[in-house]
Formats: sequence, structure tokens, C-alpha cells
Amino acid sequence: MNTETVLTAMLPEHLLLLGILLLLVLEIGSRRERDLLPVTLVIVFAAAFAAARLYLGDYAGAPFPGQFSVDPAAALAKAVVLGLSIPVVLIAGGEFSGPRFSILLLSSLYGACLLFSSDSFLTLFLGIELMSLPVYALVLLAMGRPESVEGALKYLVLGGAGTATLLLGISFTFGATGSFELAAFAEAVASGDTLARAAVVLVLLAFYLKAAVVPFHGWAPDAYEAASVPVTAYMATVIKAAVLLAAVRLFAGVTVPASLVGLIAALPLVSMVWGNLTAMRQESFRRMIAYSSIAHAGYLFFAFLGAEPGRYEAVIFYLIAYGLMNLLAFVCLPTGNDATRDRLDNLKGLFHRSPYAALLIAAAMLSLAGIPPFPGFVAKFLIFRNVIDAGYTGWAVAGLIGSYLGIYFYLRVIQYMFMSAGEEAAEAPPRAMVFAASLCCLLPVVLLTVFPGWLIDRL
Amino acid sequence: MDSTQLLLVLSTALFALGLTGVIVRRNLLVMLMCMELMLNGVILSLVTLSQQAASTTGAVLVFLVFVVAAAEIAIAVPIVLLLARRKHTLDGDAFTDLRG
Repeated sequence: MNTETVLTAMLPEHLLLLGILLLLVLEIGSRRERDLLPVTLVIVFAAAFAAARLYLGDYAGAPFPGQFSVDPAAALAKAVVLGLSIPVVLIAGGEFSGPRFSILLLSSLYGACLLFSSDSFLTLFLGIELMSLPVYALVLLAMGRPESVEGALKYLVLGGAGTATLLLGISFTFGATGSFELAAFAEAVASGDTLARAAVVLVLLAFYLKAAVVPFHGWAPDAYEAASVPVTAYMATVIKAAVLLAAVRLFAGVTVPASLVGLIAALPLVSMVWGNLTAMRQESFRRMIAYSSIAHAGYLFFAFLGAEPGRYEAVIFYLIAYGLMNLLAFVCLPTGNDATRDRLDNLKGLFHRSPYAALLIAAAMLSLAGIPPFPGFVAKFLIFRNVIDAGYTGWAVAGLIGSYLGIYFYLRVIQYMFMSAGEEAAEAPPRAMVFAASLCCLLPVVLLTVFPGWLIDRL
Repeated sequence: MDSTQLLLVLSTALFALGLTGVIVRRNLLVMLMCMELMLNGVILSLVTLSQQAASTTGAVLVFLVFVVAAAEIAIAVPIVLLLARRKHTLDGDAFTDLRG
């Protein structure tokens, strides 16, 4: 272990840690409550920039061999996750200004970064827990609303059960292969031993639970609705991206064997259909996004059927497109009381009140539905092309049909915004921060829409 | 059946018992206890397997699990307190503000 590698390779993590300490010092040192969000924003941006530099410089290093290593794929994953949290911090302005939101958010991001660099199950487990524990508390921060406590409890109990499942899987993997390295998982998948089989299934189920795949999705709608809008946006994009990218890292070197195809294809397929069908009858925007995210988790796990290099490319492109579009929709939600601002009724006639917001939400909905030319379409295309290339044509067709069931409820939002007459009173122009957040999402989206090939070539 | 297998079966049984409890029981505190029971099952299996393989990494993971379990409970108990203060009951069925 040498100091320079530790400093360079872990730069994003170090910046986040420094940020947490700085925020604590600022909080202790100041008498009155002050707005710490600008500081948080600078920290997240610096960490994202550091990760992006590591990626562009093709940096590879192992500060703690066997536990923690950085390669370009890990650096890119960190840059994506940290970049996606920038709009979250920008829109948090109206709701949280104290240190609690910022510190919890940074700790959670630290866990996510640890997750992408983990080489052993120890680091993986620590990363997952460090990422999820602060989120339970973040859900609770919307304490003004009584149901937030209930949502946090459901999330915590099911999250805890998921953690225990993951640990049992890790323990069995160790029993079957005698090693805690992530590579042991590939070994366990390849072996036909009963203990190894049980280990693989347990680890997979734990990831399904954390990513909210049917039938382990029970916590998601409640937790998403209970949290306030910035936290919901964070859970729907960053946490989901982190879990999926960690799963991709775990599945490195794994070709899905025939015995697992049922588990890897069937549950995600059910997830797509169920998520899309249930989303149709939701009256709350956050709950609808929760069910939509359940469906999207299904598409993403479908990608694991595909072959190795294409799998990473498809998942990360999908997560970038999906994350940006979701954030765009959350950023543009009309302002107001946190409990009512996301009622779908509240969106009625939004186009007449605030055309900019309505157009952006519409673009986000069309992209989430996977309609060309939006990036959501390219992302879905990449996933299903890989699945077909791997020879699972039947599953791909079923998945494609399941995925387009979702069009109805995405279009319903657009119908609400454009085709119903709302009050004519113009909405107050968005605050500068919110406008900046929408630009943060919009610019990359335009880039992705016009030049999707540019990004794909670089992955 | 040798003792390793016996202990593994016991740990899986503890885990399954905990999982059943989380799903079936409606009292919030009992649900949290069952969550801990699941973790205890895991710890037993980790200790057994790392003893068998003479590995220290397994023992380290056991300590990490203790820490994480403590952290989880440290968040869970205040949440249960908040809920109990609001509804004056620990019955999980009373908390149904979120539906759909």
C-alpha cells in the first residue's frame, strides 16, 4: 500500500469524507442555522469532477489490494452517480437547509462509491449498508407529514431483511468457495454444488429486494411516497443506479447458466408487467414513479441475460438516460406544499401555467416510456439487442411487450398537463436553483438525444 | 451428520424463523427482533464456516455485522417510538396511511 495510490485512487471518497467533516465543523462553529447547501453542492461537484478525471485518465490502481480497487469502469460509475446527485442537491433548497440532509446525503454517496470499487464481499457489504442506512433517515426527514415515519419503517424492516439475506448468501459463498473475493461469486455460479446454488440465489434475491423487483417491491411505493420530493428523486435515481452498477460488478465474468435463466428473466418480467399495470391507477406522481421504477428495475435486470461487455454498456447507458429523465421530471414538478405538489390532479393544465416545466416533464415521460427519438428508446434498444444476441429471443419479445404496457400511464400525465384546462393563473417563475437544476439535466439529455452514439462509443 | 452441517442447518433454521417472523408478526418490536434473529442466523453460519476454513476474514465480517446491526437498531427504535407516540399502539396493522 502506498500513500500516493491511496490519495489518488480514493480522491472522490476523500473529498466526500472531507465534506462531511467540513459540514460538521461548520454546524458546530456557527450559532445560527445557516444554509449549507452551497457547500454541499461544491463538495458533490468536486467529487464528481475527481471521479470523471480518473475515468478520462484511464486510471487503474488498487490502494487496498483484494478489498478496494479503482478501474475506469468504477470511476465512470462514481462519476455518474455523483453527477446525478447534483440536481438533487439543487432542488433540495426549498425543503432542507440544515446540515442533516447534507451530511446524510454525503454519507450515502460515500457508501455508493465504496460499492463500485469493492473487490471483496466485505467492502461490498459495508458499501451497501453505508449507502442504505442514511437513506432510512433521509425518508424520515419529511417529518411534517405523518406517513413519512411509516414509510421509513417499512423501508428499514425490508431493507434489514435484504441485508440479512445478502449476508447469508455471502456466508454460503464463502462456505462453497472458501473465499470472500467478489470473483468467488462467479465461481459459485459456475459450480453445481447445492451450497453454491443457494448462495447465488440468496445474493440475487437480496439485490432484487434492494432494487425493488416484484415480489420484493413492497417497500418502494411507500418509501417513495413518504419521502419528500428531493429524497424521492435521490432514491429513484441514485440508489437504484448504485444497486444495479454494483450488481454488474458482482456479475463480472458470469455467463448466466441455464439453471438461473428462469430466476433472472422471469421475476424481472413479472416486475415490468406488474409495475406498469399498477402505475396506471396511481393518483400520486411519486407513487407512479415508484411503480415505474419497479418496471425499470425489471428491464435493467433483463440486461444480465446478455453477454459481458455489452451488459455493462447497456446498463450504464440505461441508468444515465433513466436517471436524467426521472430527475428532469422531479425538478420540474410545480412548487408548493410537499404533500400536495405531486398529486396528479395538481398537474392539470400545467402547460397553460408553466409551459417550460410542462414541456420538460412531457419529454421525460416520453423518454421513460421508451419512445424514439428520446434516449430512453436507445437505452431499451441496447438492452433488448444484447438479450437477443445472447439467444434469448423469446424472453426479449415478452419483455418488449411488457415494457410498452407502460405507455398508457406516461401518456396520461401528458394528457393531464396539456389537454385539461387548469386555472389560468400563471405559476411563479421557478427559483434560480430549480432552473439551474433543470438545465443540469436538460443539457446532457439533449446531448444524449442528438448524439447517443457518441456516448456509447466512449463506454 | 457432522457438527458443521448441523450448525449450518441450525443457522438456516434461525434465519428462516426470523424471516417468517418479519412477514407474519404484526407487532413492530417483534418484527425488529425477528430481523435481529435473521442476522444472528447469519452470524452463526459465518462463525461456523470461518472456523472450519481457519479464516480470520470471516471473523472480521462477523464484527462488521454486529456494528451494522447496532446501527440499524439505532435508527429503527426512534422510528418505532415516533410511530408509537402518534398512534399509541405497536400493532403494525394500525399503520395504513400509505396504500395503493
